[in-house]
Amino acid sequence: MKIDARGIVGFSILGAFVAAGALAPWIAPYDPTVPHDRVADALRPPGSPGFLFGTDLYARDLLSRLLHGARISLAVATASVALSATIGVAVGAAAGEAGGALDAVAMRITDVFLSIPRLVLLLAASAFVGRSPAVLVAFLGATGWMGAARLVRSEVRVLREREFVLAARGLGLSRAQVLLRHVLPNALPAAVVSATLGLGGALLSEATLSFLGFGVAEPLASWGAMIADGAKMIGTAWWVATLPAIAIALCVTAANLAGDALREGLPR
Amino acid sequence: MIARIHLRLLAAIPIALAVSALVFFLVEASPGDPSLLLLDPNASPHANDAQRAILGLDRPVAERFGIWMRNTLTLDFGRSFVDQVPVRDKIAAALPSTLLLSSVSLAIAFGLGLAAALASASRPRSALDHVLSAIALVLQSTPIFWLAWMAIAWLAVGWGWFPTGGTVSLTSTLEPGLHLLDRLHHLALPALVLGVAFAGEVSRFARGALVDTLEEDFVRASRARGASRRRALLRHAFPASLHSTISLLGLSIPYLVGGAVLVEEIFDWPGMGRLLVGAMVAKDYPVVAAGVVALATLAVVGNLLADLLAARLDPRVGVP
Repeated sequence: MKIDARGIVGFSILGAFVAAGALAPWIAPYDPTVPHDRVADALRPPGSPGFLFGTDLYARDLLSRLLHGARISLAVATASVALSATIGVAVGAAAGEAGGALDAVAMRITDVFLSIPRLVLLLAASAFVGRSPAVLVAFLGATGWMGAARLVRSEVRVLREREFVLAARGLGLSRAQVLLRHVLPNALPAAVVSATLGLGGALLSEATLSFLGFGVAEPLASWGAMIADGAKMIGTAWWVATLPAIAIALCVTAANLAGDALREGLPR
Repeated sequence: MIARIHLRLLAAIPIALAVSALVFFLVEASPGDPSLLLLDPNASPHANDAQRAILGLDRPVAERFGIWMRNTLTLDFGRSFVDQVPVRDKIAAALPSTLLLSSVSLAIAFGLGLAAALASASRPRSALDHVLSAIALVLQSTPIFWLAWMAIAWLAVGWGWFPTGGTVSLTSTLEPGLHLLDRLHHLALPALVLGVAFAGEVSRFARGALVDTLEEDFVRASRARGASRRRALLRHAFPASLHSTISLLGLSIPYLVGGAVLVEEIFDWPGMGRLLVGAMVAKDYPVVAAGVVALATLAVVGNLLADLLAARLDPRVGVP
């Protein structure tokens, strides 16, 4: 599979953020949740001695909070994207393989999910079911599988008629064997593409929920919650809300670039 | 045509019912007892039993599901836990504000997005095209709530061009003309934020559709007949590309509705979004449930209208 320059840029940025998040406990200069001792250290601008990215209202080091935020935001987004890719592959493979009425019903259900505003469903889930990161992952996954399902379904529909699949069927393999051993492995690149493209949406949704106060709770630093912290003082201390916003925008752009590059690199 | 629109919009009803069923199961999955929220914490367990009977919570799940679905069909969502106002009235009061905000934002997004797409497509792969595409990509990736707060900090507080939120000034006169201007002034900034955020989406779709259409034979033919580049783009390619832009945008209507929820919350705009978020904070569950159904239905209807409009603009389809 060939990947163009945009894809390399996208994957490098994502990789850097993932590494930063994974290593956060070891590379973060301070504890992200503990306010710094001296009150004078509150709202230090970026570049202050000792605080590369400045501090927030409670004199917490923003670099440390950003690094730990990467850990939470990326973990939630990645887990939810893995979940939605799994659901999407299952729905898409079942619909594409079965055809007929089951296919029609599965695709109508996909349409229903596509036409519901994701944020609204996530708010409902948060209101009724709860606010733990696990619930967040479950519902981000449950509201993000439609693209993968559509892509995998259409891949399966095409692959079923390909000669190597017909040959496998002619050799007497069972339907399940043909699907699992010959059709699905070739449909998986499509699922990987939609998972990568879905990463940006999952990141933004998580940030939005945390911003509204219905996502990952304090004192854990999630990027969305950090923006909420800094929003009201954005005119006087722009960095508190803007640095996490830049982190989100960079990650989402990187995921979109990587996903676009993968999609164009898909073997046709 | 009108009859056909009505017929197509009927397709929104099953989807709204499906969402309503989904909400019912979410409420069922919730761990707490909603009845306790209404009750004095010191009340006896008997009082709670009585209240559960009044709310109908003592009946079997299947029966409550039937009642809930029937009530959805008749738009009866019960009364607010907070102030006992019928939920339907609250939604009817909030919906017009959301419609106004979303449609003005959509118009702004369309204006900016189509202008950027035309500039891009007039010279594909030029420096201008690359810059505009990059801006669109970044806009799509930027959290809209950060944009909103930046707009408040600079345009409203810093430069004082706009009010920071609400729908009307405290000092507003009752003189109709000035009052209307004041309202528009309050609408401008939230609509601008939502419109600019959505313009990236519009311009990406519109640029793609335009570039594809420019390759088509009828556009080449117009150039061969001596039409200028500009004329081929504006008079031939642009109108023919609109239908595919709009049908792609129809799929993004849910994002617009989600964005409206956020913008309303930040700008204190009294629409469905603020109603929903406020009800969530107050644990006013009937309002949350009905608000979710209403917003989803709004998105579905918007999606269907976009489909209808796209079909009407498609030059390959005859006049219906």
